[in-house]
Amino acid sequence: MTDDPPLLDVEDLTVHFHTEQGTVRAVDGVSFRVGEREAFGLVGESGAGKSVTAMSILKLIQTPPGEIVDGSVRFRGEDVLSMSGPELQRVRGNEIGMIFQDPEQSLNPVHTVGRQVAEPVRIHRDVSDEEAWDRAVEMLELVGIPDPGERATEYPHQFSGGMQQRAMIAMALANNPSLLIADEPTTSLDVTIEATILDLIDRLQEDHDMSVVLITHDLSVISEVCDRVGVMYAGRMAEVAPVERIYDAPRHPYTYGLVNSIPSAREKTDSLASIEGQMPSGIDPPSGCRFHPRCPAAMADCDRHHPEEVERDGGRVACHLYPEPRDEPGSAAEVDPDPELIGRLTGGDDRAADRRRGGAGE
Amino acid sequence: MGLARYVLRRLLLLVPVVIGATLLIFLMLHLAPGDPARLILGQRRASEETIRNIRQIFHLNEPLWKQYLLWLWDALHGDLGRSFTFRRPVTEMIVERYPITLQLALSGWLISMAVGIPAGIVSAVKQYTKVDYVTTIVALSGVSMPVFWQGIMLILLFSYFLGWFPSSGFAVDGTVFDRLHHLTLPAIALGTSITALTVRLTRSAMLDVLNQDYIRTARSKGVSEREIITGHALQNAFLPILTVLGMQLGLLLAGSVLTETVFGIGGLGRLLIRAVHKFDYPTVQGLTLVIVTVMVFMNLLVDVLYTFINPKIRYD
Amino acid sequence: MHEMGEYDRRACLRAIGAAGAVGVTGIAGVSGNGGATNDAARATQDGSQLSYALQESIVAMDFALAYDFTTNKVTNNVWDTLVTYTYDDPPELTNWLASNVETEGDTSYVYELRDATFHNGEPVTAGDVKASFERIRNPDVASPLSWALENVQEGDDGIEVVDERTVRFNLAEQSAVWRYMPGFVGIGPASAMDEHGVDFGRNPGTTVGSGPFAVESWSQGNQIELVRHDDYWNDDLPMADGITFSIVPEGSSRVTGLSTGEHDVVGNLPPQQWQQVSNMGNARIDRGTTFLEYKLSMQNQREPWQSDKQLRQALAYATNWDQIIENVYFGTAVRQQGPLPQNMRWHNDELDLYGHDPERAQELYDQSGGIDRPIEFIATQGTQARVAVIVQEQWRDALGVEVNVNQMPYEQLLPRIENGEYDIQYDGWGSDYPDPDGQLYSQYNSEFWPPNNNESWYENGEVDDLLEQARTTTDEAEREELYKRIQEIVHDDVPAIWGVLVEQGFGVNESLSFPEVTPMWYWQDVGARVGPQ
Repeated sequence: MTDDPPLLDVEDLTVHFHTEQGTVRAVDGVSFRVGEREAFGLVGESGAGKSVTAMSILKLIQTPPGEIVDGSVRFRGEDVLSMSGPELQRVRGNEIGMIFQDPEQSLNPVHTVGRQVAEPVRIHRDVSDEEAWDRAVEMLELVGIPDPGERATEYPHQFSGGMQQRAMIAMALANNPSLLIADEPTTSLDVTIEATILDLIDRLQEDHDMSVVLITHDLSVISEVCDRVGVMYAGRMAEVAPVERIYDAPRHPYTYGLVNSIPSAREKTDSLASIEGQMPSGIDPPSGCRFHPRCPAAMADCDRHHPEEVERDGGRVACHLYPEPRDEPGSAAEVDPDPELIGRLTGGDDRAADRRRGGAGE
Repeated sequence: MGLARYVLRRLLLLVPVVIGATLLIFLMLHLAPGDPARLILGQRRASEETIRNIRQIFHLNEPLWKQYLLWLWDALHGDLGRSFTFRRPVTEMIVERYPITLQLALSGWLISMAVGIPAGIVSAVKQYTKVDYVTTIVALSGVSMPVFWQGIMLILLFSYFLGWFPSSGFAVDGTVFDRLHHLTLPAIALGTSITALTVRLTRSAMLDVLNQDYIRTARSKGVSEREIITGHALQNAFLPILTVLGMQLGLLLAGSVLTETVFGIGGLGRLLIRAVHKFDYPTVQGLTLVIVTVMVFMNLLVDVLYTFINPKIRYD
Repeated sequence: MHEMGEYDRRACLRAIGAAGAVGVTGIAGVSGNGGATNDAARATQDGSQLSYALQESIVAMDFALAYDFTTNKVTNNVWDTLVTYTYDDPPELTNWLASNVETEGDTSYVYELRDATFHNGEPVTAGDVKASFERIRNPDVASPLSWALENVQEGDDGIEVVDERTVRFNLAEQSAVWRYMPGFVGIGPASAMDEHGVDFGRNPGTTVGSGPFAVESWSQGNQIELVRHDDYWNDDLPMADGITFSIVPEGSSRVTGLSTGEHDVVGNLPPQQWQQVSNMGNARIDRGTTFLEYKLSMQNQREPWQSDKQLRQALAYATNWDQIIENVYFGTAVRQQGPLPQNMRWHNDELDLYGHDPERAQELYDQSGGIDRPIEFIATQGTQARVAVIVQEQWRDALGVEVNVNQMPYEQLLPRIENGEYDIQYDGWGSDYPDPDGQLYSQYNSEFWPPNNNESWYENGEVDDLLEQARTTTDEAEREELYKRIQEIVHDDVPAIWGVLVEQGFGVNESLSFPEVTPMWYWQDVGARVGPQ
């Protein structure tokens, strides 16, 4: 890393949704960075605030009811959140591309696929309609759509789900963006297609020297593509760490539970280790650490203070098991709890390492 | 081709629909109490001989099933019988008045579209703003303002006080200017009466579409807000709007009784109301046939237009 | 003729009426300085083309179908009749297309034609007269006027062409009223009637007449344009160069048109709006009392009505017509004086009328057998129902008698009347000719029970005989005596409670002269006599 600012720097992002039931604190002080050519995964259960975080990067939160109340999203040092409409439009689809969970719903049913892929080209480059179209066909070919010239003239409903997502990728990448945000790109696809799409993203990331923010609720997907991963829980970032470390030595009890819930492809287990209870709603979250009502390792402090993020083992974690280093002598030398301890505390057997690359990807 | 066969099938469906509708009306009219021959003459002094002659001319002596079949057979040959009241061929009366109704209906409809669709779009795009509230209130007051009251207010303002437009009549043989001059107030009254629905419908259709994922996709591509509305949302929102616009036009083409009455325009609506009032069965029957046919064709036209607006819809 | 004075509109049109009142209030508020003048539509001031607003579209431009208040206001200007009625009060029969009328024996009438031409330039001949009358008798035409020719001998000999200018009518039996009948039959050219057959005058472009105006254009339901017939035999008529009839069903729209000058003459104004027009400044109401009478008919073949005269009389005294005239007719009707309209000749002025007299009513009711069940009053919506409700209250207050007002649509009312299934109903009748026969024969002859027009189911053998006698004798003095006697008997029998004679009013632009509104207004060529003052 140089002195240049990171490609994407999300800091203290806080997003609220004003609903009739009350204010939902969907994202509450989330920070992370994504470097050049880095693939960053954002993982968590649904409702954890991953997608809201992703949308906020391009300021796509619908206001009202949504409102970005605090924080900043810097792309190459520029704050996206304070951009005007035209400035935003210059970034969107140009320097940052985005694909979404449900490709069928995300494509406009009344426009041809070619027109939709060509659209960002037409908007952001000074090209003729024919050139934009040619670029679209080229992109469709690049994402592996057979007979792209012909298929560009077809409508989305004539495409299969996998082909639709490929078209979405073609659209998002048409202007060679530096960052691709992929919001649950494979959730609505079946497993065989999921793998090919993930491979495609992986390949294109390398070929195009771009960074990726991959949002998913499925840790196994992260392992396919990502270098680093952030684990979100109830609108907060629980843990950020290199992807290997997350699998081998999760620090946060929630991460531990998450890693353990990945079904193993090698061992046929009849019990799926998962975390008991449900994620709280964002309207009236628990005090202190939001995970504490479900946390097997909860301590006296957990329902009182929100744990600050601390640096640990090449990542960061927010848990009272890892107290903030104090300025008092000796405090810094405090020993982290052993992963096995966490395993015992959370009641699962330590199979995390085996679970690497587990699941459908293989 | 699929579409052609679909249209043909729908047109064939017209046969049972028309027979059903006209038979229903026929039975409703003929099973009602009262001797049609006497009802035709009203309470005028009439000799028994006249009543006999009327029965003879209009086949009222025949059994009901035969009367209906006679009517149906003639209708197949373009002859809708003769009006009890006017003693003229119903077909001729309808042909004569249809252009008037058509001009009134189309101009009212166009006004409603020209005002209603943009207002609905603005209202949706500016949801929960003052613009939205004002549009909704204006639209609601349009709904709740009866067309005849509105017509009378228009006449008072623009004919009586300002003298800009004639208060009534329709320049059937007039120049284009004459006709527009006469048509302006009724078209506004008629248009306003249905605009409210167009506004609300457009608003809700647009809101629905604007919440769709593909609109978010368009934003993520850097499409401008203006282009999102015109290029992405409108065409999708147009499907439900088109359905209602088609139905509205179909209804307007059946004649607009209240507007025609207030503004003294002799279209199909007034013909129908008078025919019902004066027990003019053949005219009611003939108008039913025309109205049903027009409605069926409007629906068919809308369905065919669907395929051009939404490529997903295919009739194979 | 009949009771079309009340135009029983459907529900939605009634709603318009309600809103109409709003509109008119608006007009009234500003009538002092008047509204804008609509120059584009205004035509009167040069006196050339009149604009006349009708309430509804005419039935046809065919004299054989012209038998209502609206159609005849147009057709009377297009066809001349052999005889017509003067604009006097009371109106008198006068020669018109016929220059001379003679009787031959008791049953033949010979009409000599004046020198007149049709709108197509052909001369009016005896053959045309025959063809026109035969059209009324033609079963394929099914003219509602055929009753007028019932007394003409059947077959080709009934109407004889004597020569080019002379036509003879041979009657089946002697009649005192035949002389009025040619006043209802327009004379058209045989050539055009042959050409168009039954469709003559029914489709635009098929009308050729003999009257002061010719049809220039006709769009049914919208507009009728009449232009002066240049070769008209009467040099004094028409007074205007043309009339444009437009159809404006909404009463308040007609009133607005009158105030803006778009319309010069407006007919069939709702009674509520007469005052409005009078206040307008640029227009007035010209009005006159008609023969159209309304009465409360009891079912005299049903008990207790059949045998209890005191009960009938008690109810007559208990009825306050002034209240009805004010609240239902807004002052546009007058109290009828006995069984015959007082504006008709040979009215018996010596009858002791049934005025509003609750004490007398109570007295008679006490003498009567009374009624121990509610009286069923059948009525259509509108005027009939409004009268029924007022009467209900009056009789309850005066006698403690209960009335059930049973409202129903006309098509249900009609069979009830035909079958005599009612106690009381409110019906109207107006003679087509200025003779007591027209008023009394149909209403009190026991052969004319419903479906004919004796709607009180009255039966009195003496009256039957007297009516027949008065119809067939031609001795004027004798007839007068007979009709006065008939009135006396019927009045005493009181089969119905005679109510009102309605007025006819026209809204007329102040700058125009307008003929006297007579009880025969509806058979007269009113439009031809409207012009600049």
